[in-house]
Amino acid sequence: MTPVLELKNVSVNYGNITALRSVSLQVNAGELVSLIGSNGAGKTTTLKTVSSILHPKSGEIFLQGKPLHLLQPHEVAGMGVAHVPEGRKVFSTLSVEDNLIMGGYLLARREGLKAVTAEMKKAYQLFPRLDERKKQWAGTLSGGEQQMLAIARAMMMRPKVLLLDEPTMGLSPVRINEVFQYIQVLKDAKTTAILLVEQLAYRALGISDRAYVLDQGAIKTTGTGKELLANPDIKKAYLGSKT
Amino acid sequence: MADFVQLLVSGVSQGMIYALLAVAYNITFSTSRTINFAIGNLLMMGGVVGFSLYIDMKTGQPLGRSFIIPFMGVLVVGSILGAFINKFAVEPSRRMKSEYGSALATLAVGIVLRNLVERRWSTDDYKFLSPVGDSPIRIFGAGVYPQEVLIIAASIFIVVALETFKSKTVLGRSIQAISEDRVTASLMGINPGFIVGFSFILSAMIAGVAGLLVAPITLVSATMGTVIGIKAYAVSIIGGLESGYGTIVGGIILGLCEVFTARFISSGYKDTTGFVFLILIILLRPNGIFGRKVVRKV
Repeated sequence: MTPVLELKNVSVNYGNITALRSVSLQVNAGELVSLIGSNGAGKTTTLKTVSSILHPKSGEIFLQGKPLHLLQPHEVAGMGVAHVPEGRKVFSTLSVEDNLIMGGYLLARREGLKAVTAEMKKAYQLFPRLDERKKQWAGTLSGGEQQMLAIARAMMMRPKVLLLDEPTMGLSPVRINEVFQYIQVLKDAKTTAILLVEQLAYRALGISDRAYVLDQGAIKTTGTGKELLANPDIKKAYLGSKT
Repeated sequence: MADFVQLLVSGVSQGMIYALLAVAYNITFSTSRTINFAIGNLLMMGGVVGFSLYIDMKTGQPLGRSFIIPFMGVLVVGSILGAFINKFAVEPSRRMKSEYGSALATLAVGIVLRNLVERRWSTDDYKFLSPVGDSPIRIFGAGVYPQEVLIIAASIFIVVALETFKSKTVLGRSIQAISEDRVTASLMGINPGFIVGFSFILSAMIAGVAGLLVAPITLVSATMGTVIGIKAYAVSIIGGLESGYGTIVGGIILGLCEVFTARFISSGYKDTTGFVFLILIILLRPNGIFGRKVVRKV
């Protein structure tokens, strides 16, 4: 079976600096795969390359067998890749509702506004707090609420694969738990494959089917979440004091 | 009293033209972060194209056509010019990554348009007979031109329609989304190139209609857009470069400043007050009167 998302030997440069070296990874249908590694390992670069914000120097990226690496970001989105960027990036001068409608831009063009409204209803069911605040400017939401909005906005695209970049960054422990609960809900729904980039490696491995460890731009190890959690090298390098 | 009403109406109508042009500046600024300095000459094109389709140049009398024809003509020419400016002036200079490239390129297109009109059309000034009549109507004893009333009504309609479009439709909202964060908007599947092109077309059509509206109270000529274009740029800054209704207030302020200065001080100082006001605004409120500060959380 072809994987939903596949990277084959992808290398990316920032000027003279190599950010990714021949990275290959796969995400299968319904899977939650996480990408862990220290700061500057290339996690965000990997996601940005998938959504074509960055273009690979060499290598190929496929979505269900169709090439993504030659497309523009809006075309990649059109293929079914939803990217929740680092730092959430909600449209702060638009209302919560308008942010969701922007997530439904492609849906509106393909199936009309009714489909967008229906999808929005689903988002409000999953995130009731967004419903309460739908008329507010997104910039006035708390960090945790903005993260929910960013995820809900991406889900409006009915994606085949969801890229989550550091969804817990800058959040309080309570909100971090909430975000992981929502990721679990999305995983259980099996409507989309998920590629998760996370600093909190221990938590990410705990809910992932599989994971890749990225080190200085290259894949160092891969395995199931459980295997990596039990691996003593990984424990020492990435999981901090939890040994 | 009669004097006051008369000044009020002509100041406001003049101001609404500034407001329309300022809106035209704003739309493309918000999507592409470049200033389209051809706007003044796009207004001129609106006046000239409208005149040519409505008035017989030799006799100065209307050709007897419905006003719909010059109106549609202005929209068509405006949209072609808008698309042209984006494709051949803004996009190439964007690729050159020069900070002032696109501003200069649009300025150049404006100059080319003006010279083309001077060479191919005429260097003279022409009277554009108003489709709603040229004899003043009496309001509170004041003589008000019907065209001035038309300008005010049409401009308010255009600005309100545009703001409604921007806040109530998917396409309109995506203009705002692109304006706030181009990269993130493209992650939603919004094509930035399409939205920018669309905004240039919309902007040029509005400038053209402004030219058609203002022509009967000024004169039609190849140079009619030059000064108006600069003043409207000032208004777009006074109102806040991304605020739709702010431009109406900014435009009215400038229009009123001008007519009252011309009436009570000297018509020679007409242009001064407006620019003094602009300098004050830039000093005291650099985001414009209605420019909103963006709230961001990290």
